[in-house]
Amino acid sequence: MVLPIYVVIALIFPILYGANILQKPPNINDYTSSALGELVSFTVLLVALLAGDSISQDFGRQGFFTLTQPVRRSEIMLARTFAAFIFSAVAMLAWIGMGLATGFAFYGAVVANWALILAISILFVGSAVSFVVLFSSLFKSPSISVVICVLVVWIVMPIITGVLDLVGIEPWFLLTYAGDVITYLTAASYPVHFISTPISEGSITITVNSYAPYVWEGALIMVAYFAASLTFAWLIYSRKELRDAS
Amino acid sequence: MTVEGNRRSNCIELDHVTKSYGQIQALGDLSFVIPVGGRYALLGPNGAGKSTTLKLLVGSLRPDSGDVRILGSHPESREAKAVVGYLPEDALPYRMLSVRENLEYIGALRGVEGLKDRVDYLLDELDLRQYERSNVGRLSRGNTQKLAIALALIHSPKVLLLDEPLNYLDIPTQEKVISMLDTLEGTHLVSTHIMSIANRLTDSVVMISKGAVLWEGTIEGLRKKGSPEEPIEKVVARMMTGAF
Repeated sequence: MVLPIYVVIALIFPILYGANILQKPPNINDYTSSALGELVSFTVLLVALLAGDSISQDFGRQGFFTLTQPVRRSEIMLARTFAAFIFSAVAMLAWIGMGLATGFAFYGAVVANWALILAISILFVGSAVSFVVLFSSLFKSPSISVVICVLVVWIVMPIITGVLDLVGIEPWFLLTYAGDVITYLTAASYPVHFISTPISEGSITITVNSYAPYVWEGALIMVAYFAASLTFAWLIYSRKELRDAS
Repeated sequence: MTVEGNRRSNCIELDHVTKSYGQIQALGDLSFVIPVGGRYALLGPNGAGKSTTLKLLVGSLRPDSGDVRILGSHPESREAKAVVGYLPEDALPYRMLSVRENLEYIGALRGVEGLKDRVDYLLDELDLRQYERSNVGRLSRGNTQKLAIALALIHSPKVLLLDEPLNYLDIPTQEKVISMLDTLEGTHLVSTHIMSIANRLTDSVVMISKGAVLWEGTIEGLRKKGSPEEPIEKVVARMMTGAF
């Protein structure tokens, strides 16, 4: 059920452009940027729905049927993480594939960085799945872990980014910030790392800051999220007891 | 007999086990041994620590102190888990899977040989055939309990740990389950607070109260604690309330 909805969302912009309801962007870069504009947000949502209960489900009554089997907890966790990764990666690559294919159909070209976009996207999915699995290990209730995941990546992280932009601090520790690399790679020229724009109205001047992660920086944040999240999730999962499950 | 010899003849061992949930002590210095092939009831009033004891034996909980062993292995080890079949109280198998899928999934995890035949056998024995394609979320409480029993038995375990196994079952099904369990080999530990169930499923009793052993021995020995005409339930009730 989740995958068809995800595909429909991915097709909204190409369909609107194809049907001339929206005016097509002037070039392939702007078009691809538009087609992939919501990719990171919706992929994180997809991952949260798929993997948000991957660990928490074992600390309810169902856990007595999983954790009493002669299978190591590490094997269970890795199998579930890998399954969520494969499913999410296929969905995300399908979205990107549709963006690139429809771009080619409209403009006869694809963006120069398409291979790097695919590679970074796979890395992003891996880090997002690991991060969500970590959240799943913190909560007993599957529904609470899914909701908290969605709140964190859809509301808390963007708010933190906005606040830090205002005060001029780079949000280098946020996964969603790292994910912006994917959209920036669609541009004809990659945005500069930091822009500070003073805006004056009457006697009031405010400075609007904007950060764009370097590609290597985004990749590094994703790798760090992947490694740290899986490590902490494993430490929690391997030690947690089924205390209140019945 | 040597320590190693004891280990081989003992199936379940709890040695000075304590377990607390925050400020609440569930088990305080609990020790008992069940020999290989023994059929024991873990008897006690509500809150005595019966379910906690079983959870320690399947490795879902860890003791605060003391040692727990199943056939000489720690409960969390692969060796122990491979030989144990566990029926939790108020069991809830995978709700999103059908009855058959639950059995096939757990059977596959346990590497059961001839899995299809084994699943078919259990579906027929426990009258679950008509529900085999139904999702667990749609089953009645009784049928869910039957499935949970089937899941505990799917790998023909050497050690069977049952927590209130006859809960939610109608009388004909109770009789069927009792007959089925009678035919099974291995060591059985049945947690219950109902003496008649202990009487039907086992021949020995470990009686616990407030997390410690109150009395252990055969059901016959328990009967002899009262007068010949006194119902055994009365004897048990007196012992549990400390009126002896």
